[in-house]
Amino acid sequence: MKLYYHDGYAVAGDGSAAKRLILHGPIIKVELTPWHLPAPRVTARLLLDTGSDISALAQDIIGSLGLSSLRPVQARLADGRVYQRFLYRMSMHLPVSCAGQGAPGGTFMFSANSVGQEVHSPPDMRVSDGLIGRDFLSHFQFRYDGETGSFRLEVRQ
Amino acid sequence: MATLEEIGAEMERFRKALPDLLRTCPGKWVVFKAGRVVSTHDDEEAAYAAGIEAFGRDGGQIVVCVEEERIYALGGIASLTK
Repeated sequence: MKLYYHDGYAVAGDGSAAKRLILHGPIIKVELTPWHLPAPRVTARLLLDTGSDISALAQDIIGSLGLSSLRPVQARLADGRVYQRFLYRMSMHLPVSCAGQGAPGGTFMFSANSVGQEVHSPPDMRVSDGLIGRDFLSHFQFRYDGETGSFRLEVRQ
Repeated sequence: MATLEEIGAEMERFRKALPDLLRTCPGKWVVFKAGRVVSTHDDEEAAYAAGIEAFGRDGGQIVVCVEEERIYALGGIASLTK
């Protein structure tokens, strides 16, 4: 997976610190744009879900981004049934801080796929706007600290 | 913009072509449009970029890996069932 550095994020020491992200979950706020475009830019709150093979996003947010589908996929939902869902590709901008290096925070941009999911409650009534699944997490070493509710993602070398 | 119905129809054409593609380019990412492979790539990112370059963001092409189609669990509870 390609990793892009944005917003003047500082690279400390040998550069390894720049590949270590610390986020506070399990719901994180991210910004989304169409793949490699600066706009439109939409903020979304995503729930980290290690039980999901793939990531998902409310269909109204996908509509706001004006995305066209990559392809349909078969997805098994919580009721155990298999449904067709459409997959979309976008850029995900993660706000991050740098562990123990004294470097300022910044934003990392990743390419990410999500299936669209119709959500009937309005955005301000939702627990989250979507899920971050193992398709995204598979690119990282993932460590969760239950006491602080924070997790660390390290980019694999 | 290509409709979801058109994207779904393209996927159906890909499914019909899949047995042959599994012999000729297994494991490759392809840009697929109008029932044929437009280009092959080693990863999804490269295939997606090539599709945009060839047809634009809304051209109706699909980007898909040449492999047996799988079913994804969406939501942790879904992984409890087969």
